[in-house]
Amino acid sequence: MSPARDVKKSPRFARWLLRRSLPIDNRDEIIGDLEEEYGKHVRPERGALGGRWWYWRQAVSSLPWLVGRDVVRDIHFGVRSLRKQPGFTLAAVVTLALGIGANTAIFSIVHAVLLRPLPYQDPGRLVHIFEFDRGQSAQREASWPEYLDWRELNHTFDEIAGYDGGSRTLTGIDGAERVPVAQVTGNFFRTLGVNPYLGRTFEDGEDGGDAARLVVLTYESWQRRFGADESIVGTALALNGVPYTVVGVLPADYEFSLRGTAELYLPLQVSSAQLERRYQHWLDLIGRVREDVSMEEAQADLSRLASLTAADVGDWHAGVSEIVVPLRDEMVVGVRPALLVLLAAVGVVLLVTCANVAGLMLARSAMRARELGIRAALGAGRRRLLQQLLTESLLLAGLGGAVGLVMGSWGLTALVAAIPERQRFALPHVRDLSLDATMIGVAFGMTVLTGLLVGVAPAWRAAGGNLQGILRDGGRSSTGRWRGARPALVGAEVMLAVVLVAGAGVLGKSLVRLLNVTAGVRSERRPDDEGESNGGLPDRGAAVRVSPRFSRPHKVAAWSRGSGDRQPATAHRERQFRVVHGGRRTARRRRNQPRGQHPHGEQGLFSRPRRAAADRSRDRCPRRHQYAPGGARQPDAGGELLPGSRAARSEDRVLVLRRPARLGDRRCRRRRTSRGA
Amino acid sequence: MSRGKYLGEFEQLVLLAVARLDDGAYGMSIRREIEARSGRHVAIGAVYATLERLLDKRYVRARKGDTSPERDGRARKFFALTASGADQLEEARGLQERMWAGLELRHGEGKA
Repeated sequence: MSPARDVKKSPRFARWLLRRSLPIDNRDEIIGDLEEEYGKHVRPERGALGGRWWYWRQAVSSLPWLVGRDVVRDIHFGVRSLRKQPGFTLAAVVTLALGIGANTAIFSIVHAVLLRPLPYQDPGRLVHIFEFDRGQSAQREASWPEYLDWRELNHTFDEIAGYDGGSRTLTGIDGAERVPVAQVTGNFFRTLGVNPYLGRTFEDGEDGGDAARLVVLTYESWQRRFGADESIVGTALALNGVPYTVVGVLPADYEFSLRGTAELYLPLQVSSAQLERRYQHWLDLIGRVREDVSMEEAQADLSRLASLTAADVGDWHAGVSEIVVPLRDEMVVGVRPALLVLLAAVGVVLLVTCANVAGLMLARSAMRARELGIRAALGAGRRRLLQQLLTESLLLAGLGGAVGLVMGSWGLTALVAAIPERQRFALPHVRDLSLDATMIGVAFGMTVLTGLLVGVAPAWRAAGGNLQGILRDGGRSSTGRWRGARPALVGAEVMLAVVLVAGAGVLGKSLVRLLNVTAGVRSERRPDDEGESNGGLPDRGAAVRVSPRFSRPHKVAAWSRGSGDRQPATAHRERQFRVVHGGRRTARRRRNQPRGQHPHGEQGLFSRPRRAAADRSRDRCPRRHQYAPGGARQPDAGGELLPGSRAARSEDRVLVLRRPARLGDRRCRRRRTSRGA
Repeated sequence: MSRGKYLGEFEQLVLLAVARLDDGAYGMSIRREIEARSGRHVAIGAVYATLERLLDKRYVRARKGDTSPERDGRARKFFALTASGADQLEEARGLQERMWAGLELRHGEGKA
């Protein structure tokens, strides 16, 4: 090479690039031609700068012609060699498809729930606001006077809005039906930044003690119940027998997953008691933090207001602080750990898949050692062989990815369908989740990743070993350096599989619990506080109102506070509540149990119900009768919620949550029969 | 004549350049010839990719040439037209002429 040093050198990096990337069969001629032309003609004629420009242009415009040709050749060759071994190809493709498909489906859900922005204007500034009582380490809603104070006196929020759940009887042509509703303050939709599809939403002043009788429909409800009638705005609906005027329809992509199932939105009605009572905590709050304000500043601002309140109302409010959490965190608090564990699990599945296929490829490359040896002897460089083998594994992964995408999209549909409707609506973006660009992107990324993971070890082994030696031995011996690779791979695979199986045991249980969280109460037929038929119950006042929130255990406490308006919250701090599920007590606990510890709520996903042995022996079967206060026997109210017998005997209020008879109840019936005999 | 036997435009240019350069046809001289006569930028890679195709079709043949210090010690590769390559060029020319026979394009007319 020394003579070349005499001539003025061509651009070194361009030359290096050509040397690295040109196919071997043309490399020498092309570089030689370029060097000669550059030294003899171009540089003398065009000068140093012009010459370099010329060289670079030649190099860059030449590469696509020649590099692409190699890739095309490799693909042709790869397809041929995969077709020659259909068994191997099928096994590898199916394995990869399962791994990629599972990952794509789960990642789609994780992306929708945890990563995708909420469907509101500037969702990063939206927060959920609640009170936290340090004395009882419990969180709770705000009261109406507190809400008004905070709205008035804060310095850090554009808007603070309140909402509450409920249901109403909608009377129409098809008869009466119970529909879930949400009651919201006038600024609620403005806070979220949601514009109506038709008509308008609510305005300030339409909520409060004398709320306007207006209703805003969700898009879905408008489509289903009202046949997408464009002239719906201005007409009246009968809710609990009272006419409400439809003022607007929400857009199709609107969802507020903390009130995901609400079909109708009404202006918030505040009772005269709620208007006054600072200790009556019932109102859920969301806020929009100002643009230039951080979460911490908003938090500090509300804490300041809490201390003002404490100074104002005295002792019982001491130890209460206001907490601000991003809205999404509040929405996904119950499922985040489950989803992340699930994601980790399918990630491990993918690794096992890769190890599996890499093992297959290693076995295959051992068989192909002779072929590779011959190609090396004929002048194929290591890099060239490596490229060929990697092309093959990428091709394999590509096939797996394509099949996996189809499987993943089926899997996703099945997964979404498996989530109970109430849960599906309670999570952001999940209800209409399907194959989309993100999913395709993820599948593609995963394909390339697995292609490389699967291909690198076998390709390196094949191309990096002693190829001439292989040829000499007739391809009978494998190269020593890589003899350990397969046992290591198998070991890793077994290890991962054990982790997976062990994890699956734990995870499966949690997942089943996640998928089976039910309200436990038939909300469509329950008595309401709005004064319609009380379902044959003796005393409407004693009938307990359970909102769909009942499944969120900390709300049970909220309810009990809400209805126990005889005294301030602190007065019955020590009272205990029992939640009896299906006639069986599952836990005895103080009210205001902090979230995350409830036995069967979403919050306590990984916790187990603790039941005393005595509890287990008693109340095994749903009782045929429940007791109303006063001890009078009442006929079964068909799965409704009734005050329990204890209520009659003590000050304690007991919720007895009955479930409708199910399969397992047959055993109970039999026992009853035998007892009767 | 099957579809695969048609010469592409650039293939024709390369074949013609090889024919014109006679003994002196190697990658860079072919590239220079085409660039000089067509007036457009020609990448050396395109020339070699095309020559490779023409070699596969046996329209040209190749031989290794000399090395020289200017070439960084790398040998030239010379190309020459084969008989079937020459036939192919004639064929292409005849086809062109037959297609042009009796045809006159009047610019600016007949577009109304």
